[in-house]
Amino acid sequence: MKATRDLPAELAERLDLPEELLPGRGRLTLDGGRQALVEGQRGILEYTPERIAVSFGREKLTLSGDGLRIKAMNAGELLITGRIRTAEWG
Amino acid sequence: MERISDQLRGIVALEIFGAFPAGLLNAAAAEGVELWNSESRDANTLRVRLFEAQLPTLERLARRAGCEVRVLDRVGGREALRRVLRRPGLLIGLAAALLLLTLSTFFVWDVDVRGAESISRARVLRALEDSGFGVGSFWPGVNTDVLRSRVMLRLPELAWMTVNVSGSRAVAVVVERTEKPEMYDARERADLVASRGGLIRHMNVLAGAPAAEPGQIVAEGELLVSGDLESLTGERREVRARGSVMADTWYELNAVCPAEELLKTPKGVPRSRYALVFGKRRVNLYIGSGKPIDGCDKIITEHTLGLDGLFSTPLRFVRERFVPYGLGSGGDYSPEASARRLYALLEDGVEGQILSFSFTDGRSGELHVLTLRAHCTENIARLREGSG
Repeated sequence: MKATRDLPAELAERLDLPEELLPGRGRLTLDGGRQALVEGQRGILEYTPERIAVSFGREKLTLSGDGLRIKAMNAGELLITGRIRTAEWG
Repeated sequence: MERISDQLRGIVALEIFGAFPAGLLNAAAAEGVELWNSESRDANTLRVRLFEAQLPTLERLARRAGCEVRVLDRVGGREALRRVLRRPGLLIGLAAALLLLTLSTFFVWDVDVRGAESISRARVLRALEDSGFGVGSFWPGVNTDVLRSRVMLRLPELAWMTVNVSGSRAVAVVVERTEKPEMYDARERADLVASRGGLIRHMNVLAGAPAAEPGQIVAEGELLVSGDLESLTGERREVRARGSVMADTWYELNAVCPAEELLKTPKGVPRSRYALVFGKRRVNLYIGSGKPIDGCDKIITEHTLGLDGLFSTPLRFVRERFVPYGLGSGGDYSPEASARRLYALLEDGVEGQILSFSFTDGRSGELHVLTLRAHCTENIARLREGSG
């Protein structure tokens, strides 16, 4: 049986469009492991000093580390500070 | 740290407690509530900051999310205003200070000069003062055109000037007059004579008749190129002699220094006294006159209250420091320092190249005499107006 295709991603690839423009795709910018800017977020799933999980709709990002804090937040963006050790997309 | 503009809006620090406090953050962000500096205390407790005006929205969302909200601290905003209103004396003082500061910006408390190169800054300031503009002037009442006319009458070296006032600081911008180039009549006779004695090595005559030749020794003031020309037909005409005459010249410069030098050495305890200057009025914070004290160096430092380059206030703080000194024998005679000065003098005086030089050091009684002898090559032609 043929695998379910990710049509928007395939379309973006064919049209040579940046993937972060697709719905449900987030963007993470890390600055020296001490600061992270998360764009396209849909909500915080988990928030502790060791772990912050963010939903993008179709995807999920989990940042792990020490002393993690949400420095600023609005409807689409999160600015996270602290010692970021891992970033995991799921 | 929040900006002052944020603090004026009022900031509230909150603690949120609930089953899933991060859910409240999501709801707040979706409603457009700005949150910052959030900190997770544990799985059920969060601390966050937001603008005071958005607190009711957050409280409404908290009730819907089943969270408790506790105000920890308030900074600025209405609370700060309430606190200030409870102290009318502070308000009156603040208003009076603001009024004074605002009024003081209509007066000039500092005058600077830009563009003065050959003319001294002090002369420009004096001319401004004599024209009715200086420290303490009410600048909205100054007519720049009239001031310009008055100053330019006093300083004919100026081509143009203006005064820019920013806050209580005035900057006088001056443009100096360009000197008119020297004009001469090419038919008017002028000779070239020797500016100093020497042995002529090479002559380059552009106009006039040579009166000397290479290999000849000339004395200072001797005619080198004459402006009086005679044509083949015996007709005479006068020209302005032009050209260069390169000659070997010799210099002898002497430096005389005392064998022992007296130097000031600090002695005793320095004393300081202070004064306040408000505009042109000075209030001494000491008893006695401002005359210098014998045997003391007087060092004056002034501090103007204000922000450098932005604004000045009429208040200046003056410190006069008196440092007593004694005269003692200084360091030994240094021929190197004298030699450097002599060589610098020679370089300034020679209009050509220094080919060789030597120093001789001698002593005459209590004096050291250092002699510099130099062999140079330079242009010794100097213009002499009028007939020779």
